[in-house]
Amino acid sequence: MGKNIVLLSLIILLSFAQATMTSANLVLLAIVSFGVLFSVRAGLVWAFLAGVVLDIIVGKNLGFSSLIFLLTILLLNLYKTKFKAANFFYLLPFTFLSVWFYNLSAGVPFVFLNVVLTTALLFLIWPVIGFLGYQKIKDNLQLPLKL
Amino acid sequence: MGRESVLKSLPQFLFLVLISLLLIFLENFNLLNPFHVLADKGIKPVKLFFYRNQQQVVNSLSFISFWRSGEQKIKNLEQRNRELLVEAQKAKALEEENRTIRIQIGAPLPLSWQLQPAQTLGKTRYLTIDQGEKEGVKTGQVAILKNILVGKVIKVESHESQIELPTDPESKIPVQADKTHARGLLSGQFGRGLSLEKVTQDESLRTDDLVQTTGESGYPKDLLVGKISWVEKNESEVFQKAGIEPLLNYEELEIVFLIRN
Repeated sequence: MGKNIVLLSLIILLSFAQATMTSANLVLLAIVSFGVLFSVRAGLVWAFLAGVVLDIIVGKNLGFSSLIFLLTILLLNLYKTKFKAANFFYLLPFTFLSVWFYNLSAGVPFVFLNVVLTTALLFLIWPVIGFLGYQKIKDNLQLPLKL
Repeated sequence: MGRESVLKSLPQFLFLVLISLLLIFLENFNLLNPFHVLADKGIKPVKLFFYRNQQQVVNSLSFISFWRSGEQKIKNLEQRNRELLVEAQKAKALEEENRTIRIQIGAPLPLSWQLQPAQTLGKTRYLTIDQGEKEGVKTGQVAILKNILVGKVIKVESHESQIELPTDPESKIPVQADKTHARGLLSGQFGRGLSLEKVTQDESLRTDDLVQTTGESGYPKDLLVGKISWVEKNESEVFQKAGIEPLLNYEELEIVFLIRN
């Protein structure tokens, strides 16, 4: 319960940062991290919640981000079986495609450098989520981060 | 095992997707507006808090880039200050002269715009302001600061609006150079300033010349946008190109004015 409140606070904080400071999709990066670290069910619930929070704070149409985040989590978990999801060689291209797809759906023009920089922010978000959700990682017996 | 757990979670996924679609549907028919109005009341002050603090942090860190070139910058500013004092004196004299002439020939006063002040709430790709549909803001309205163009309203929420800045890659503003009257299209470079394009080779572009709107594409005439910083003229090409330095630092804007009429 306590961890959930901390993670929800983190999502709210990232949403405010995304609404006022940066065009990088920080919440999507958090969702990708959740998808790897948590179980499918937990990942889906977090994706939905984070999408609603982001849409309310940024002022987007409610439901839009949730839909994209849910698809992201589903795809991430489908391919988790083929690849080691915690491996950055799988995670970085997946995040790149997720950011690109979100931007495409939101009508943001594709700027390669922008998407790459956003993807690179995963290196910052991942340790924070990993630290805050440590208990959950242990519970779900997920793989540690590998390079 | 992984695929199995995905399949097990499929009903949950479909349920959440259904709720998302329902929210989108309700949003399209503006049925969630009362909720947004309520949420805005709590969110707006927090956004303002975040944005102002970020501006303060950026400002306090600006000395890092300033300390190296600071001395030269101060010299340039002192020189510029002296020039401006001379220009201000000239302008005062001209203003007096202009007023006298206007009275004499009975010319109508310049069009007085009704301006609506708006506070900035954040800058990501667009500039967010605290005025929206309820305050009478409409898509396409132009935002200015003094006589400098800030951008155009492209999205209006109930109590917030988003302004597309000239630096946005989708922004195309017809402009002309102040002194040479060379015309072109001002395009944003996604965080890398502005560029003046589609300027034919027979037109003349000079560095430090100001560029202003031509009055086309929904922008009022003669609003300043930037200053020509470099010119690229290649005879083998159809058009010449120029780099434009914006006259405003869009990151530091705290208040802008929307032209109502």
